[in-house]
Amino acid sequence: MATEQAKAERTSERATRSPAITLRAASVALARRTIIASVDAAAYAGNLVAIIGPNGSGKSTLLRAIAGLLPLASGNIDVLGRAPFGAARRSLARQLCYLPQQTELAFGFSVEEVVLLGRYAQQRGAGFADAVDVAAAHEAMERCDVKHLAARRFDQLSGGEARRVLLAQALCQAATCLLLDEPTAAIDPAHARSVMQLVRAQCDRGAVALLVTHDVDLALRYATHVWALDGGALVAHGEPATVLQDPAVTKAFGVAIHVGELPSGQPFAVPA
Amino acid sequence: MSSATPTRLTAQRLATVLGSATLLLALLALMAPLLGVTADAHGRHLSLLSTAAFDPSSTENAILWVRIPRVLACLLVGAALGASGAGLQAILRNPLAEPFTLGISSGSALAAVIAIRIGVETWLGAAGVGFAALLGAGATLLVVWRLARTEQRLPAATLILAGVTVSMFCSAASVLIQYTSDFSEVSRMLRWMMGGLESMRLSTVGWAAAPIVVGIGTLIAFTRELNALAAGEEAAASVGVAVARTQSVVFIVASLLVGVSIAVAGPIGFVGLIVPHAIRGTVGPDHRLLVPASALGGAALLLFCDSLARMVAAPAQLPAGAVTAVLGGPFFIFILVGHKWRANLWGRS
Repeated sequence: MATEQAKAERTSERATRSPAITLRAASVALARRTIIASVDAAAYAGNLVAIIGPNGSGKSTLLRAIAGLLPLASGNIDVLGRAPFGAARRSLARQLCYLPQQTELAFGFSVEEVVLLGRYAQQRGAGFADAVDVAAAHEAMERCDVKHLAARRFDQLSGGEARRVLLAQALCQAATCLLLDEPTAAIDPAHARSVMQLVRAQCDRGAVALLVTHDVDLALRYATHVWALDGGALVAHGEPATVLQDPAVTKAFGVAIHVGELPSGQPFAVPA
Repeated sequence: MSSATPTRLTAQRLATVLGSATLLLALLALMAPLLGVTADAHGRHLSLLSTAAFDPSSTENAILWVRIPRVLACLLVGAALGASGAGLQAILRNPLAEPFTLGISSGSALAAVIAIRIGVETWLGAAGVGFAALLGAGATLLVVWRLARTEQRLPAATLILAGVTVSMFCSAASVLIQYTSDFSEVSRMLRWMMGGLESMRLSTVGWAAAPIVVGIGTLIAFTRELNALAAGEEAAASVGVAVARTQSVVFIVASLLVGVSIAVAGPIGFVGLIVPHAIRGTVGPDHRLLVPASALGGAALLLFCDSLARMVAAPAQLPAGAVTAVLGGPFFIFILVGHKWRANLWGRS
């Protein structure tokens, strides 16, 4: 029950700190259609927030708005003390990294080159990778288990490998806010778990991560919090097990999420 | 394991590749003005200018001074077209992006055709047409820009669509104007639209040099941002790139480079398209190397094509633009069918 204790400590600690990410009545409209409707939420350093919700519920839009890639229709978003939209991207990139849901890379860059692109905000001048950059890139590649792919061309990787390379790129940015849009999509179960573990490890070292996922089991096992979206509104948020069984979440998905315990004592979640 | 550059770009590799390319180009540029074709009783044959060319009173010296501005113009125009092609392909992430598909060439050709039609040459001389072409390039740039820009963003697909549309309109307008012009005007219009570097003046080269050098320098300053943009606008923004600024600066600078080139030499096709592709297939996709190497490659290609244009039918001269098109088309097909190259061309193949 050591983890329970740690969780409790984090909870009590939280009350005294200001949140890393705050949304106040944040609304986003795309082509005049409201996608995110007045969301109030906060995430603190150490939190790993899984954002769940059915297709089209606004998960990606919310993440892009927090990443400062979309303007707000109303309300405000605060990431480490500033509004991300309109902030200088270079200095923002030292605090915040964002893994898009889809990436199509033009030109045949190698995996190592793609990962090193994550060092853009840290580099000066012509941007030749120095020892620090190379070390950061190689550490990130190792953690995402893609170091053996370093010399391969990015565009010849499988979907899951490419995803892990992009995660390595985001990690070597050395940001404390991680915004990851479906980081485990197309990734095999073992690698998906190690991805979640490494994101969780970042959070335990003081980072804050918001990740969009459709995998309720991974959300239950690794997230500290779950935000559930439905039709652009935040319908439930809090401890993973509670939120997953919330009637609003059942209604949103059209199927109940069953939370149980494996013989080993590990919790699991599946659509019932 | 692929044959593409597997490792990252180092300062040493950049210096080695660019250094040797510059050396080769310099050698070519020193050779070109000395080389010519003489026609005499024995027929036509290649000839080198003798050392007498360095004597200011000799005929050979006069020939040399006709050829030198032409060689310099080739270097400048070719470099401008090669570098701008690489820059445009990068911001638009589109293998077809080049001055022609973005409407800039057609727009400036239309302006030149109008200038010839209203007789600009009679009161401004031949430079008047070049000036009109530059204005045309600028005006087209503004129109395409305004058409494509939405909410501070410059979506690549919209930009290409706007460019192709404007290009078609301008071409049609050019044809209509030609149809209503008299024979001598039409012949001058066609001559101009083929693009060529004969009868180049040192003064023309002089005024074009500064904007072209500054323009290429500006593109080179944005090459790290271009690398990041390969992964898309949002991915680039999230690693810290000021995407809108990068796209705007590169688009405007590349267009102006094209405008200046057209003002100097008329519209010369294919250099902006094939050079970046060929160079990318050779040195890899990193724009820090690709953009300057495309400038050098463009200069070399245009110099080569113009030297052919000057000599192949001597004493008659072909328009250099026609030679680049005739050589460029098959060369590009050769690149496309060679699948070893195709894999390096653009990414997924």
